[in-house]
Amino acid sequence: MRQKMLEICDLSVFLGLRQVVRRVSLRLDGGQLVSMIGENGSGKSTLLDAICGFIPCTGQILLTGSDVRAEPSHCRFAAGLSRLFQRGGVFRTLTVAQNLSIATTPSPFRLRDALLCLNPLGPKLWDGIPNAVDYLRRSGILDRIHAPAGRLSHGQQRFLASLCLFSRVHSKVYLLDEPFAGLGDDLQALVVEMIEQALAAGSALLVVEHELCRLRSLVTWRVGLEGGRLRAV
Amino acid sequence: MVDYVLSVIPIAFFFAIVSFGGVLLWGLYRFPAMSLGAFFGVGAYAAALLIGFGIEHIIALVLATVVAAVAGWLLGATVQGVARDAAVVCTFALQVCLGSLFLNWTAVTGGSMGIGGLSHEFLSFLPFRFEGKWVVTSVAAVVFAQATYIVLQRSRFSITVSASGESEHLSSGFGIPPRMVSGTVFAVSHGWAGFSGALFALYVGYIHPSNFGVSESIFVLAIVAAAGTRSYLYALALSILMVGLPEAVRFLDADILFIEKVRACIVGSVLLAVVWIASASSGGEDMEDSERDSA
Repeated sequence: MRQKMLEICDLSVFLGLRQVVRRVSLRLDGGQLVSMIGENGSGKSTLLDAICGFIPCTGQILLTGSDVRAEPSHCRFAAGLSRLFQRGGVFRTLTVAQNLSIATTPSPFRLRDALLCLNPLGPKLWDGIPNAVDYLRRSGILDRIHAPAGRLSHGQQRFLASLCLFSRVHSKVYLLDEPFAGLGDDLQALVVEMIEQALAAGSALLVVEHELCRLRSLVTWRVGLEGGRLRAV
Repeated sequence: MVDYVLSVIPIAFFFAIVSFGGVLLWGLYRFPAMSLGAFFGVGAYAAALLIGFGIEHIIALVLATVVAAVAGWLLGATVQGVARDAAVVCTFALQVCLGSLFLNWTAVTGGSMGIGGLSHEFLSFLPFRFEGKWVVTSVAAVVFAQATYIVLQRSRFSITVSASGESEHLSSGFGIPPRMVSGTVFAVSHGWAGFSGALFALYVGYIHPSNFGVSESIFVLAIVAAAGTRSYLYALALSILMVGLPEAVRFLDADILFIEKVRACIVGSVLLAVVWIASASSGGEDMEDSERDSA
């Protein structure tokens, strides 16, 4: 039996007096990829923001069985949630290596990790990432690993954001907001490869994407969001 | 003249320590806090009051630093989540409030009379005269603050702080707690300011509310801005320049009244030149960024 990774029950979001998401219920099991489509303004990104804890909502959000709705966003992410934002996704002033380091090593603001992180002779920044160097080489970023991420092309920045996301060791649920936007064919293929690996590892993915050509064979089921309501497609 | 120069050096180094806090806050965390001058005062008054209660000077120095750091943590944790521009105004408001408190809480701070008689017993074991003793002490304090800064800068702490300063939203997406980061950065930077203020109080032996006003905070921010916001070494150099230059102008061979009139102009011109050179040297990189953004 597949593990239940994310379950949303009757989730509603109000922005001011306007109800943007209306009683959405959704369940993602391990190894499943659910694609979500909808017109601009239909509430897709707002739904993802609510799941991540960036905006208040009502209803229930269960992450691997635990209700995380009362948790602040950073705790939800530490508990295994990962989010690719529609725009940006990298720290532009940090180098490529530092971006990967942020994604893969523990936060120095947890007491037990603080001393480890203060050690300047600690492990190399990207030691914890399987295949990271390979992906960096294939995406043409490896020779710019010590350059600020803001100096990369838009497509490379988006790819780096995906690489950081999929390099997170403890991720169980990925929320991807238009992961292929701005990527060329070669970088899109690499992102698909990473998505396949995440699915094989038992993670669950909720993908907001209009161009599903590359993911068609991986999609478990599709849903649509219309006026804040979920509907089957 | 040598004694005079030696007496100015510790002041420059005290401001250098406060400016390290400014570099951490503004350079790494992107928060140009306006409260460092007030926390310079918090350290000074805390040390003065503790010494007044009969506590050893060195213990008072440590406790004053801790008081400033804890208050800094509370400030950082409080302003986290407030829009950055509004949060900067909050720190300015706190600066004004603390300045007013130093001046008007006369029962504790002495009000406009200040607190005096602080430094008699401090560092009596050092085999130097007063000025030499304080040059050694201030150099040791700067080295200590600099070493702390280097450890923080080369560790993951600085990466995490930079990330959180650039985007709290995105960094929380990697499990970084924004309130903890903000509190810690404020605690370290304001703790340095408190440490420096306590040393200042012990050095001058007399503290007064006018030593810890808005102008001190602006002075520190000017040092950090001119130094390029990310470099603690430039901040050290700029501290020496900005404290030392007005004093050096006194020794120009000219009419003292004339010197008094043009002193601020000379110092301001030098500061402008430093900022101009610094911005010209980084112009190419900025241009590349803006070209990429527009593309």
